[in-house]
Order: sequence, then structure tokens, then C-alpha cells
Amino acid sequence: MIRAWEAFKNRPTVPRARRFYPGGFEMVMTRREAALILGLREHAVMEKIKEAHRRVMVANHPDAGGSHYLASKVNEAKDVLLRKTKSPGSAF
Amino acid sequence: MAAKILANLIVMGSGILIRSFAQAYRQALANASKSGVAQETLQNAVRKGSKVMTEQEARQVLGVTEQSTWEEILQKYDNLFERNAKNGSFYLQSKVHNAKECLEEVHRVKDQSSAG
Repeated sequence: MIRAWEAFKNRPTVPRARRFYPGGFEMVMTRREAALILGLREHAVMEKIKEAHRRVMVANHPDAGGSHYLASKVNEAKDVLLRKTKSPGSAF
Repeated sequence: MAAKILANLIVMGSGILIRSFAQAYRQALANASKSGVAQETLQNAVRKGSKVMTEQEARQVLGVTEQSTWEEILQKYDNLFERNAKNGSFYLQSKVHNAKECLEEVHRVKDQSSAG
């Protein structure tokens, strides 16, 4: 018994590959999708949101070979997350 | 007496105008909260909850046109995949990967039809 347990503990760790998220982007961006895009928790604070947004934008900047679509998605994600943290004011 | 009717008309008219302005403003607020990308994504979505990326969206994700060669597409894919692996999120990486798979399929079908 103990030997089986030891063998189990010492088995070689195979790198677990993460499964990609299927499909395209959602029709209406939800808070969950926005958090996934920026790699944050849904209840992240404003500083973390801004920092993550800057980092992900640099990685996907249109001038550096990124696509406009992805960049706008990143921006939208930041807006969605920030909108839910402070209430919407004006239309502008 | 005509003055009373006139006064009534004016009050009712202005009431209607004010109400319509208020509704238009509310609509503008709602529209402003929807960004322009939402309209694009609406065009992209084929059916709700579909687990397949459309070809149009795939091209948008990778930033390629219908005339781009397969080498260009691969180049963009490699670039985006690397950058997102380093500094982006896994979610974005997945989308880039899905886009490439979708376009690969399209390209394969096109090759088959042009060769046969």
C-alpha cells in the first residue's frame, strides 16, 4: 500500500496542456469575457484593470503587428470592467 | 374660450415634446454604452452560443484580408500567438488559435477545389 502511494507521489509530472477556449467572441461582451480577455478576476480593482489593459494592449498593438479587432476587444473589455465598477454618468 | 383651448394645446404639445426628448436621451445613453465593436461582433455571430468561429471573424482576429496568402496568415498567427503567450491572456491566445484553425480549414478546402 505504502509503496503504491510512494510510486504515485513520485510519478513523472506530465505537463498538463490547457484546452483552448472554443469559438469566437461573444455577441455582447459579458463581464466574465472581459475578465478573461484581460486575465483578471471579475472583481479586480481599478489599478489592476488599468495595468492589465496596458500590458495586453502592448501585446496586441495594431502598430506592432496586432489586429485592430483584437485591440478594440481589449479596449471594450476594459470599458466593461470599469463600467461595472463605477456607475455610468453621461453619454459622452 | 379659444385662449383656453390654445393653452391646453400648448401644454399637451410641449408635454409630448419633452417626453420624446427624454426617451431619445435614454436611447442615446443606451447606445453609447454599446461600443462600435458590439455591432461588429453581432455581424460575426452566426448563432447564439455557437462554438465555431466564423471565417469573417477569423480574418478580423488575425488582421488579414481575403487576398492574403497562407504565409502571411501564418506569420501573423505566429506573431500574435507569441505576443499573447508572453503578455496577453490565454483567452486571447485561444481566439488567435481558433482563427488560424478556421482559416486553415478554409484554405484547405480552397486548395482541394482548385486542385480538383
